[in-house]
Amino acid sequence: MKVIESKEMTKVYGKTYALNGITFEIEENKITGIIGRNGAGKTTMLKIIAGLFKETSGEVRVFSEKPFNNLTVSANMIFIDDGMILPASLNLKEILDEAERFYENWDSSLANRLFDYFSLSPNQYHSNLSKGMKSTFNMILGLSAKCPLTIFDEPTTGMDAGVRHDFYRVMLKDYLAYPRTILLSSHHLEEIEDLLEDILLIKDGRVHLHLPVADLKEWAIGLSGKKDLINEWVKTKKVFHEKSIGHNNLYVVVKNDFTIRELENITLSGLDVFPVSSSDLCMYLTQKTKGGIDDVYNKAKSDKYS
Amino acid sequence: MILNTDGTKPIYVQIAEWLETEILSGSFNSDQKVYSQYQLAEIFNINPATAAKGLNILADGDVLYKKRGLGMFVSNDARERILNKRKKHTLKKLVQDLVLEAERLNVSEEEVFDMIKNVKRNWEGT
Amino acid sequence: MSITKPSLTNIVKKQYSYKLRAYRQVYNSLIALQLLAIFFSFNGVGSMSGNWGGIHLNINYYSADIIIIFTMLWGLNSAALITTKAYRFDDFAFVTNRLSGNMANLYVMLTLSVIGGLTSILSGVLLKLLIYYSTDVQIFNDTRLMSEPNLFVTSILSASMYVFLFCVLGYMIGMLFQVNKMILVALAALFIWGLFKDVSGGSNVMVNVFTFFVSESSLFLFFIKMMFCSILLFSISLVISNRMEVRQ
Repeated sequence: MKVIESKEMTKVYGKTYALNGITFEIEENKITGIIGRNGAGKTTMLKIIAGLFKETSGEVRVFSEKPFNNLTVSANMIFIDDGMILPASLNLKEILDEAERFYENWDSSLANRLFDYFSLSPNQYHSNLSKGMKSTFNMILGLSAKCPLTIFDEPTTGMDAGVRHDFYRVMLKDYLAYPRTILLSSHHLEEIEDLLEDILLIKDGRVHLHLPVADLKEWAIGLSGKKDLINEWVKTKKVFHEKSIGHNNLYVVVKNDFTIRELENITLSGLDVFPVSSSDLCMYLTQKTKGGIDDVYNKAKSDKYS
Repeated sequence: MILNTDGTKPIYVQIAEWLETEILSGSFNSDQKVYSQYQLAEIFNINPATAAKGLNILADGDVLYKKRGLGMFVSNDARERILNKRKKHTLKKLVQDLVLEAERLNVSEEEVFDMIKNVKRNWEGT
Repeated sequence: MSITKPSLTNIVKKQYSYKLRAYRQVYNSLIALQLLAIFFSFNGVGSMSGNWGGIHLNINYYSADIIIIFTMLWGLNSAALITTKAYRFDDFAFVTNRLSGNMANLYVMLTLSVIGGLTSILSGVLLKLLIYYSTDVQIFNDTRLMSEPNLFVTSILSASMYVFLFCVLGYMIGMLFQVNKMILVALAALFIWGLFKDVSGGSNVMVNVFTFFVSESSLFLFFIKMMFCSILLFSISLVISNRMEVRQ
């Protein structure tokens, strides 16, 4: 069953396109990572799916219904982000009690155990918590609600490395026990990629890539060695990233559609072949220029001396 | 085993290799049930789909066989298959690297053979 | 995981009880305002005095009017408060849509109005008791509670109605304000225009609006008028809020 279907979803603020025709589908019970640079439109897209924002155009369906202002979507979905606003007059324990009343599948034993494990105190108020503690509490809400669609938008803001690690672990364990559809956005792909099944890469308000994480690892390949030799091999390929190493050497990342035979020949011709980590690849894919920040600096330098 | 996440090898390949090593070391015998995708996911903190992919590589190579609704079991000739595969792929790749590096360093074939023999002799001597 | 189909009534009920707990500050402000109003009422709302054959007589009128007016303003303010971003976002922390949120707010406002109406009439009783025991004023004429329980109940009902009308008014103004801040200026302008625009009979628009409610002698017609205006104001709020996005 498809939990989310989006056809040409756009969101326009004034004249700026925050989303510019997002099309994708997400199957039930998959963990999908939403990856993109700041301002790529991740949060806007997630909020439209959550029914908090209204799309400007396009067709969006969640549980086969239009999400905006939809009670069914609201009851079966929880949206956790770092800007969560919770009632200021209720303390943490009272907020958990309210959540229990609202969410059918609420797991109060999980909520209480996590609450104790992370040393939160029942009488504290959400607004007085530190950034990391806020995120920790929000995460407890998000996991304990056990909603068929659980959306975490940058859930680890402010958490220290230990808590982040615990969060990923408990999320996976709870997912294994109660499979559900999870969308997880993060700037730290390297931290979450092992948990993900699919990845949705957003660039400039569009879906740039949507594929299993495992495939992403083999999707591109890095070559390094003599400039002329490399240029010979990648002539017809799409180059995502290139970096000069000294005067004569080059490192390039290209789409990996070489055959095994070709790869062997590349190695034999004296070039080094590297796998490209998912997070590096995503960074290259979402960069404006092939050389990244180096291009900017070199251009500035050449302008100055010309 | 801690998974290597720096991207040099896909996780599911590492899972498959880990299971192979477990079978070679005798942790699993013929016709014994191996870990399910969910157990592997839990052990290595990875997505169960990735774990399933690792299992499927082994099933495709007939190291494991599926019993409907029961899980994956170790084939009778699993050990031979694993050893064969490793000879064919892993060792071949290592030799390739060796030959390539030798060529770069202008080391002759005889020298390489001697080095291999030396290493072996050293191990046997100790 | 299977999807649950929530019923609107069920969610509204949950939200109603959630809001009564989450909005607990409004009760504090009610108590504070009514105490203040009692204090202001201590000198009476009207008085006359005179000498008759060497006897100096001073008549003071004491009533719960100031308390009720304060409570009406409290209703206006509280209702406007729950339309602000922070409160609207509280809704969306849990299961909701705009209709269920508004319905729950309507019930909350009804509850607040009854609490406000009841406490303001009781505060009026308290006021008279305080005056009776703390001064040498003789109370000659006191209707209500003991002598005419029917009237007592009616006064609570109509006080609640007034508070409710102001709640719904505050709710609509609050919603309009959320859409466009300039609305407030426009409303203030409308109010001032109403004060100075003369209509036939030497009064102005505002006075006419006021007498439309206050001088209604039939209780039934009064309720009808109140209900009609409240429904009108609330419907406007509903239409406005349906278009609003949340958690920006």
